[in-house]
Amino acid sequence: MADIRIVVDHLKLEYTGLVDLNGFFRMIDAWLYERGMEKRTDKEFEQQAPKGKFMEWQTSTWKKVTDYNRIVFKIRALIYDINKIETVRDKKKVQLSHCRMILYFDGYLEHDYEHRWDERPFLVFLRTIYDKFIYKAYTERFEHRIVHDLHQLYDHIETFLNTYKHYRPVSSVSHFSY
Amino acid sequence: MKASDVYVQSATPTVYIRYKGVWDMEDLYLTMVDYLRGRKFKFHEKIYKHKHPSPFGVERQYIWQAERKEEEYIEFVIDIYFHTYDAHDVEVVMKDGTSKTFTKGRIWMEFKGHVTYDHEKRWERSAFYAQLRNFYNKYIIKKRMDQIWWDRLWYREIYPLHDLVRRQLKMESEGYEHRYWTGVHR
Repeated sequence: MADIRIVVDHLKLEYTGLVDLNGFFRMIDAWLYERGMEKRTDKEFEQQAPKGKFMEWQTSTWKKVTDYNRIVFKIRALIYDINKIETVRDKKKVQLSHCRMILYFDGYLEHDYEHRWDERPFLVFLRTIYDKFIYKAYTERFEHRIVHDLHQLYDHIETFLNTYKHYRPVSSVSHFSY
Repeated sequence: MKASDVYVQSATPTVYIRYKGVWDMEDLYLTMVDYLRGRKFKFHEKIYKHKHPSPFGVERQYIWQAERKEEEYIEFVIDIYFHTYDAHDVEVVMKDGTSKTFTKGRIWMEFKGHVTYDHEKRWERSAFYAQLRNFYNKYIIKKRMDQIWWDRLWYREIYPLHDLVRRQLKMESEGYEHRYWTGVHR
């Protein structure tokens, strides 16, 4: 089995308000496409509920950064109480959705995705030595890249949702952040 | 999974759709079949089960397989699993005043596929031939396996079909940016 390490674990974003949902999904897709990331949609669930539509959407994206390392992002969106609302933007009628949204971001670094070093225990041992000591600087560099990229996507989504990007009330920020 | 398994066939991941609401079953069915036929796939409905109706509605199960010989040596196969629960007919009045029968209920769908190498099994007649095939797959066409055929099946055949279903069901996440991943000419 390939060696998978969690680098970003459940980075969370919550939002309640108006959003162009189709535009939102397309924006995430475009961001991934621009960075040359391949993707698959793991979950595409949509259900009518009494208070409005409920959606669960999960996508896994990956990029082979070398022939040995692969970075994997997992983005999961839970969207509750989706109700269509007519709004006016630039003097034009636009239909947007009012909803409550919870997003989770996970980032993984996968070593040996072609399973070349996992057929015998000795090979697995060699692989571990290689990752942890010989190739350590490169491994860390890939980990930094995952953290950077996911935070950039987080920022991008915040900008799209028009949340307070730079200023937040102290009550909404965890105590160790300032 | 062994490293050698990779070189017999390359499987794609599975994509799922779960939907609860109202849809036009006939239109969905015909659109999907039409898409596969239009893409020159041989389409087979392997299983069609119509289960005894419960008080909530009818349960139906479809298992489809479509295959296309891409080249002499490789073949694309798409597997679709389609299950409807609690389905019952509802009359819907369209914008122009005409009424149409739609289906109300729940849908579960799975899409997956694989690229089969040496689908005619020409290189399995002896151990020597099998070793030759293994060498060919592993060292000569490996890049094409990883970067061309798999991508073609995934981004050019399965993903558009998945998106087609989303559009038919009018889901929020319809559309995708990876449509030109394998080039603009289809």
